Amino acid sequence: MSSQFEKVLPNEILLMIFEYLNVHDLFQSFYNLNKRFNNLIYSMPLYHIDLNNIERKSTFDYYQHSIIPKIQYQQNETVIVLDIDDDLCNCIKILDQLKQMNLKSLRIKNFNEDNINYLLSILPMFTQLVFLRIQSKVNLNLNQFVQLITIPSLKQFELLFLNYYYPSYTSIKSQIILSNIEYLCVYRYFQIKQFQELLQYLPKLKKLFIYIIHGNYLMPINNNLHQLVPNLNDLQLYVQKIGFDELQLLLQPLSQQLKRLAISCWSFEYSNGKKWEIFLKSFLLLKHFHLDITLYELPSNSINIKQILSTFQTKFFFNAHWYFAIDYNPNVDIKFVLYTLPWPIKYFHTVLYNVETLSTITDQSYSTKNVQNLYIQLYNQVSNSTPTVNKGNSQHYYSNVESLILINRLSNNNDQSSQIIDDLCHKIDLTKIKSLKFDNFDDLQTTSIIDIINFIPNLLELKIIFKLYLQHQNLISNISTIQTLIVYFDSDDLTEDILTNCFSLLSINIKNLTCITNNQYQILNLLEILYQFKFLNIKKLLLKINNRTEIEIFTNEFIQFIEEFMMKMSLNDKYDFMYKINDKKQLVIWF
Amino acid sequence: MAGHKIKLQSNDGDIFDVEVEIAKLSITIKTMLEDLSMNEEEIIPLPNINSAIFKKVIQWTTHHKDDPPLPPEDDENREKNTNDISSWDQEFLKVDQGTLFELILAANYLDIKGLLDVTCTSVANMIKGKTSEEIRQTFNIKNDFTPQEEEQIKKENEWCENK
Repeated sequence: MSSQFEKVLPNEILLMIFEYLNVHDLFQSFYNLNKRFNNLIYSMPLYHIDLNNIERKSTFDYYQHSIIPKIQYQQNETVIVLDIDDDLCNCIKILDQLKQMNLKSLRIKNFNEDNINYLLSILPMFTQLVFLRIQSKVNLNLNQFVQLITIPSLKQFELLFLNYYYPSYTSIKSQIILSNIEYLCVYRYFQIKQFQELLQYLPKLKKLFIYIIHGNYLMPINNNLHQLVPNLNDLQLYVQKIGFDELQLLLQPLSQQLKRLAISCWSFEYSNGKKWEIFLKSFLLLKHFHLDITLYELPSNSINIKQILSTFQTKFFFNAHWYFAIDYNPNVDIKFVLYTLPWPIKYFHTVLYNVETLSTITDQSYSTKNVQNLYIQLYNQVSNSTPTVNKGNSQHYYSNVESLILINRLSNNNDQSSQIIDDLCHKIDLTKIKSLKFDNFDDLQTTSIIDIINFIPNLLELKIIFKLYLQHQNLISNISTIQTLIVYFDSDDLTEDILTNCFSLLSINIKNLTCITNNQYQILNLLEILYQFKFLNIKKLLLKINNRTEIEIFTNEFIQFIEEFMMKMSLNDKYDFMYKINDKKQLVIWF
Repeated sequence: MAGHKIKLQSNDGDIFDVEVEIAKLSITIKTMLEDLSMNEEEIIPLPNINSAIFKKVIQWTTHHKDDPPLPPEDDENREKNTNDISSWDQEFLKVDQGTLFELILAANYLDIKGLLDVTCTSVANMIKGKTSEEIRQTFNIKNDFTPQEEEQIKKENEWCENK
């Protein structure tokens, strides 16, 4: 039966299957098996070079010294798709090796400031680059942003940031030549004026995702967005400090072309179904409408959620198959969420108990299938209240969550952990979860909530404060699936003995260790302690200063010390490793 | 029209009544119905698929009939989706290797992109992380290199290991 793989499947199907493998897996599994497979490997229409999830330096070496030289001399038609994690040591320099190749897609995550000039200088050499995604740790200035969006071959560009950036660009006008981009996604706020200026230079745009904010600017009466972007049919906006009427005025010119409109906002003013109905009625081609409104503050006068929802419960919305729900709890941080069903985006913030939920449909469960990143604030359950969890009921059941973030709002006097864990088990498909974060648990004296990791069979990554980790190290070490541990060192008064004891017991399953500290001295401490233990089984070590401490960066003396330390490591112990200091805030060592 | 059915015949003679909307998830069948103007009484033969595999295909298409269409594949969108397989599909694909390969062939012949995607992903997941020697054993792949070529491969491997 097993030989059927080779006998039954023709070359075109085998090639199809190979396209689901990155080029490392492909070469590792099929290179030099026999002549047919060697021919197939070299006939691939696409090679995926994935430097994103590689676990050790030797894999990177295999790419650099074996795979890329082998595929380098392929016909130019072979498409290269490249994924890079810029936190990994100098991975990005692999672009030098690919200059002559047909790089069509490039995705860079954790992009560091010190590589901006390198990237901007090398990208024009890839004349067939169509897709670019940069997830940046730093803001890009206007000139850098313009250089990227005007790469002539580029049709799809995503610029994501790890922090929020509010408008800082001066006028975009007159600094830019026309862009060929058809899909643009920028996680960055633009004032309305800048937004309009930007669109002037994107005449081929079909799909746009951008953040907009009011900027003390009165909209011109001859708002002509439809002339600037005549092909735009898919628009997703994060809207801040813009009145509903103003947004309506801005988007009205697109009423004859939009097929999809998605709005995320934080203003109660947007929760009026009548206004939406009047506005949307003129959008004749609109097939998909998504709305999510999250309120942390409620209006001063009392609100009636039934009444609000009834404005979305009209023939117009039913005929379009647009259904809505409201989650309401005035006593927690997130007090009011109004959204189209299914919940439109992959992030969802909620609380575990005491949420009142109403929906415009009764014959269908509330769909949260799009939720991949679930943030749950844990409050103590109020007695006599009904939990949102209804066992045996599919309402509010999260079936596709990959990342779960539990945010502590519990009080110290009553540990309800076992009840919470039981309820979470019924609320979420825990088998899908790969990453778990315990957030804001530093003030909690004791908790057994961490026991939930026993119920997550495929957990790969755990994010936790050091204090909690220390309390539960045995339990965590017993979870063999956890390979990535991210520890937050929030306290400055940790003794060397505590740290030494802790790391002496670090599980050998941990291959990626990230320590987020308050200052460089903690980094130094950790480095020396881990060195004592020969870095255990760690393949990637990231020691960084917390982003919240904006002013804290590595001093020159510290950098010099690190360099000497690395020199000592390479000479004395013959480690095979690479290291890199990013933005004077983090040290990465890769074994 | 919902509920309207057509007859499809597997290569071992079984005839299946299938809802048109479900059958049309296969681009091959959709093209037959639309371009060849076949009427509802005619039996459409599927010469490359046996009844056991076709039953599985109908099971998959029935479950996925309301899925949103996958984006079209073009030059800018050629990279394969390697996302996780849904839990329903995982259960559905708990079959022997032979059946899985037959499903791939059927999905390819019927041009059902979603089924092809999930079956190829499943095979790719079986391959990931295996060395070439493990693949040779798992799939019983014959070595047809000459002794000279073997020698060359050996040298190459030594070079790689020493790097």
